[in-house]
Amino acid sequence: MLKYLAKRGITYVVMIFLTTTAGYFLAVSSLKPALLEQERIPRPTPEQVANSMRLKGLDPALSPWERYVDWLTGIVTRWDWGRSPNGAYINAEFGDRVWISTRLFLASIILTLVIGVALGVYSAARQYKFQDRVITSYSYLAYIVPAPIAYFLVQLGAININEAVGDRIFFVTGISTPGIAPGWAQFVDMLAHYAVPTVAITLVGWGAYQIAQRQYLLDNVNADFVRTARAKGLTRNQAIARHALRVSFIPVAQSIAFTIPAIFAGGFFAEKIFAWPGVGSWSIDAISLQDVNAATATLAYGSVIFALGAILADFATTLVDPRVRVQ
Amino acid sequence: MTNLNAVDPAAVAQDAHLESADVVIGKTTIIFRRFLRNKTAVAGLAIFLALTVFSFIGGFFTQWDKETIDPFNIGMPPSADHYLGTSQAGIDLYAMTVEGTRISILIGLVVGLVSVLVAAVYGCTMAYFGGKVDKVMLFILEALIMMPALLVVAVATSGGAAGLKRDLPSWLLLIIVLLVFSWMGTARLIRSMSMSLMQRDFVKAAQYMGVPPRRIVWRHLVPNIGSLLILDITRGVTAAILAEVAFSFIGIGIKVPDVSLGVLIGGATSQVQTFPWMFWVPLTVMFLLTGSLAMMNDGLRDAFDPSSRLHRQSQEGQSPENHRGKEDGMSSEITTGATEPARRDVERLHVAGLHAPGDAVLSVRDLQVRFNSENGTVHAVRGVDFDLMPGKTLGIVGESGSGKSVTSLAIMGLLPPAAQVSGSVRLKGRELLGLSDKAMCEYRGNELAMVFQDPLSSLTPVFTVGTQIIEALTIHNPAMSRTAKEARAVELLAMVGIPSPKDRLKAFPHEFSGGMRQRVMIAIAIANNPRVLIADEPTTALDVTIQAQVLEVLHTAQEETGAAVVMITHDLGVVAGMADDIMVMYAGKPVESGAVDDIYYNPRMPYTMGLLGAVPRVDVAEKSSLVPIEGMPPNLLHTPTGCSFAPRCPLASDACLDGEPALVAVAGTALHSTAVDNGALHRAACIKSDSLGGAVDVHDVFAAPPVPVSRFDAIPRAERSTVLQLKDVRKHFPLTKGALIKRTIGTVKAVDGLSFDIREGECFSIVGESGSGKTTTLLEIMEFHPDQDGEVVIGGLSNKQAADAKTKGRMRRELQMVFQDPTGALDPRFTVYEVLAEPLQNAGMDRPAIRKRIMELMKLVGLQPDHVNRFPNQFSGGQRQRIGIARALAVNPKLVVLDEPVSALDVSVQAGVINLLDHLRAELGLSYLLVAHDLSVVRHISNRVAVMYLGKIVEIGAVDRVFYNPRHPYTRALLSAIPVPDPQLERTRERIILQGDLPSPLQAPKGCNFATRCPVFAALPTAKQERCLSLEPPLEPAASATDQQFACFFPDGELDEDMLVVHEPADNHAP
Repeated sequence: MLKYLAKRGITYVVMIFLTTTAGYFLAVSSLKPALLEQERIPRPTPEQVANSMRLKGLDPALSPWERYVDWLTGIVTRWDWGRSPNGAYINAEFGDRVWISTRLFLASIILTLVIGVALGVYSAARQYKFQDRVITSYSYLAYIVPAPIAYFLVQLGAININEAVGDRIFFVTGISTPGIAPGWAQFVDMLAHYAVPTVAITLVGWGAYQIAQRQYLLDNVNADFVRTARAKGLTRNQAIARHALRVSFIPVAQSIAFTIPAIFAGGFFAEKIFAWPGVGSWSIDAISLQDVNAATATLAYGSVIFALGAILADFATTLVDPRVRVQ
Repeated sequence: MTNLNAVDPAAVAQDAHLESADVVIGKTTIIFRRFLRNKTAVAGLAIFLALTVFSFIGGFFTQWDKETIDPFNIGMPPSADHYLGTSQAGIDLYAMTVEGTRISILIGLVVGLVSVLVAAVYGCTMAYFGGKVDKVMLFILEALIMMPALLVVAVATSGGAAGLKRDLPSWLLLIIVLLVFSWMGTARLIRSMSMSLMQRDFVKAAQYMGVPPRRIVWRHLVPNIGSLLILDITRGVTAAILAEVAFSFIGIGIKVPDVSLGVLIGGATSQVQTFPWMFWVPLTVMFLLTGSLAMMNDGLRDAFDPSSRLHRQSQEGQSPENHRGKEDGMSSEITTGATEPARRDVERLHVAGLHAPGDAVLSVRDLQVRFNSENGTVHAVRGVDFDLMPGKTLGIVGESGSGKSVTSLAIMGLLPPAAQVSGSVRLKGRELLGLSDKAMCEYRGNELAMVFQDPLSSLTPVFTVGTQIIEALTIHNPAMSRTAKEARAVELLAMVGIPSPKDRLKAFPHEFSGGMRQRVMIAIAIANNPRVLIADEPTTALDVTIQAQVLEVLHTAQEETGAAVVMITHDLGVVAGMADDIMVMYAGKPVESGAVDDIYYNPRMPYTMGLLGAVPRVDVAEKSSLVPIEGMPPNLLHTPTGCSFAPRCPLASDACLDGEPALVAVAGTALHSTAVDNGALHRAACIKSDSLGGAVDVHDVFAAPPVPVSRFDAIPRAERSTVLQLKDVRKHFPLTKGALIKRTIGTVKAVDGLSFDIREGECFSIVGESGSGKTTTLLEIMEFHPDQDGEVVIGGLSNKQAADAKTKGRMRRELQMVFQDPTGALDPRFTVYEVLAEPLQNAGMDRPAIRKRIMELMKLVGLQPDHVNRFPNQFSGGQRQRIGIARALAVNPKLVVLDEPVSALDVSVQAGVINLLDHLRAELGLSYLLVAHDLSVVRHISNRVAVMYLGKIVEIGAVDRVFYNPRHPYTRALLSAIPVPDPQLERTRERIILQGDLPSPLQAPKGCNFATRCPVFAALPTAKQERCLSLEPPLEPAASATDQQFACFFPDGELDEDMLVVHEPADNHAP
């Protein structure tokens, strides 16, 4: 197992290195922070800009290759991912942002998985009945709405509720109200901030799991081993619950495992719409701020999360499927 | 229709007609029609087209455009002048929507089409080249998947910082970026699909014909993944439109001044309260667009995918002669259309006055099963009656679709709810039909148990064997303690012959072989000492040696529990020795029933007679043609008005068509039969049964063709030329372990030093269990290449010379192949004409010559020449196999390689194909290389035979010598394992039951491979055993001047008594 993990790990490290390198060159050749600096008022001289950039390790005079070597040396020797044009250190900013993304996505991803799988099982058990048609149609509907628009619609709904009630029940953007007193008030404030994004992300997300779980379960409902279980004296529903469900969960578990690391990666759309300054929105802001190092760092982080997900998915399979278990 | 010896004159007359009748209904037409039938899909297409047209011509209906500001109408709601209102800046929304829709559709179509194209090229290249190219390309693919596309979108389209991008409009940039990141998923799918297609028999067939790879890709691969491509285009278009909207919405996709739906929607979010139309109008258009595409995608999938639900059901009705196991699937396929079952059975049965004998443990009366299908109601079981006495065995015999499995599932209450079951099933006097699923559970697994056909899929893969046995105990004995249950499980496993049962409790099903799993199934079935055990084809999926073991276990189980057994099988041999009574089913009805001896020795129904005559006998040396039963079983959608067998019956007269004959007692036997006491009266459903008794020869009744004589038969073997020669051919594979971690733990010697030759006009067979290397041998011959270990000489040309295409082509033409699965071997998208034309075109024939040759071939294999324009799925399995044979013969090969040519066919159809093969060999002077697991077929058709065990030939020689006087213990065991359709012989003969399975190649000993399972070895004194273990016995001639060689040191050794079994008639379940 260890040997296998090591092998997969190395492959992914190589892959991450390549994608990050490609990303760096793309960023360094298209993002020009110096141009942005020059739009400041009072307008600095080109020398001043070049000087300030050089100090932050963003010297525009160097060739992309030279900058790449500097940047890479920094990471390899000091684990220093560089600085932003505004002088902030990437390493320092990173921790906060990851934590914000995690808080935004933790609850909703767990809810998404639980609701999606549960509804998948429920609708499979009632195949072609009214409930199944409603649930499954909803999932297909969720598929044809772009996520940011769905988030926005939920936001709009929350605003309407607020207006209807005549009081601000939900916050549709932001993490918390600054300067709120700790204790109960803080808790209520937190709920009011979390409710809308969590509901929105969950509503959009569960459809895929519902459809997958439903399909896998239906594939197994008429399996030979379910018939065997019934022949032993289990009712149809018992046989499905004890045997088919467990087998149909194998591929679902794999995709769940793949999703888990995404909790820490956040999402571009949700963070942008709900104005949570997490990793996702950082990566977009980095581009509008012409921030080469931040953009590359978020890209590298995304790749790492992907690789982790892929490895976790393998783990999950060995966990739930004895056929691939390795002695 | 399929009779070889009587070519229909009408069919010949069709020839001229056919010259002009080249009209094939195009596949496109069929798909198009299917698509049109789906209303949702058509609606989707209509909406999509309407929107597209709107986006192009919509601009002509207004004087405004997307740039002109109307200073008098700023932020106006829809009006006559501005159909959809204006924006905050006073720009007409209608004009912007038209423009935006056009850009969105453009992005969708371009990205969807181009990405699928790129994916197809990339995916096919990977699958085609394989190896290193595949690895590198896959790595690039995964790296691209890994890169968060969004970031790149943002970088590429951001603010226009990089000077060069200023010249490009942002929508073009977005198209480029979306293209780069949208094709990977499809490429991966296409790669895996092409790879699995490469493994399909019809692709292999083309390869073995010598069709160049480019043409295979173009003619077989691409059309077969074509449907996937079209589906993926609609999916890709949807995804691209969604991506455009999402990116533009948050401001990183398309940038103003360009307009798209995403830009419009995103730009209006801040004004949704003040100018709602600005937001909702483009949003609605987007929904219409993506929604219509989703609807189309659904319809397209149904139209293309032959395995989609709707389509599958309609096919089910068309081909009654499916693969053997398929019949059982029928019940589970049909799940739609709930109908209220008639619940008046009890009254009706009282009226009918049918009462079971009081001592019967299971009584079935007038059992009827109907399924609703797309094409109407299938009447699968039409009135089954039987009584099963305690401890007795009833054999239900019939072919696919005869209703035998449905009968057993109806008894168990395991049919899908949509099945309408009526009649009566009584277990010890208690009525089971009409009980709820819950109420049935009290009987199922308790007094009534069942063993199913396919042991590989019948156990839940994620639970241990112990858990699954204990579950059966827990359900019916909730009070039993955990330790007691475990002890009982161990006892059960021991009873069914699983070594070290205690440790094996914790094993998972996949760690067991098929035979072992079937033992576990039996253990589960007998866990609660059932009164009735139903076994549905319990050994069909198993090797003959394992079949013997499992039958033995069933026998033991029956003795231990005293259960009555219902044994369902298509194999008349399997039940001959086991059953007390037999019921023969045809078209959902019993057509003959009675004591086993009556049925086998005195059949009174032409169908039973035909079945018995259609089976080749392994124990009969004298060659006589098999009895073919022409035609196909009737379609059960229509109630037969006469005898259901009449259309296939050679004795049918007008009287037979007048009403279905009832199952009535056969005259003459009723009074003196010993069976009377047990109620097993000899009954037959035939108006002529009384005239069929005694000396009527089935060969006369069914007009079996005369035994064909080849011109080579008279020439001594040594004087005939050699068509194929193998010299010391080896094929070793590295053995890897683990699904995730693959590490090499040894070598599988699949073929280990094989030498033999085949002469003109002879049939040479290879037999052995699965895993013995038969199939690998065939592949080594078919895929000959210069780097092989060993020499393959085909028609005088050696594989060592086959470096250039020309030599290869010459060798290929000498040798053709017929595959096991007749369906898989024919490209479903080819008409029969195209199938047969492929090898001829490849040989460079011109069109008129091809046409002429195809007509000859159709006649040669007994098919109607005017059927050439049909698709394979319009033929029955037997006919498809004939098409496969015709294709093999197209280029006049000297040698035809037959890989299990009849094992997928029903007994009655099998006989016709075997007769055809026999006839062709004689008429065309062909040689055959046959691989078959059915030794009866081998004995019937071959001249010489080789017995393989773990990659080596252990015995080889003339088939009569080897079968009459087998010298190697393995040959003896193999032959003795075959059940013979002769009850008396079966009951008295001595059988060698080999222990265990084929050993894993890792355990192969240094000396004789067979030592681990050898009945002779087991009885040898230790001193002699040493020799078997240390030395490998060479293949040596048996006696002078006979054609027989074997590899054993002690062919005359005593057999170990533990491995010998005789079932005396006396010990056979005495009443």
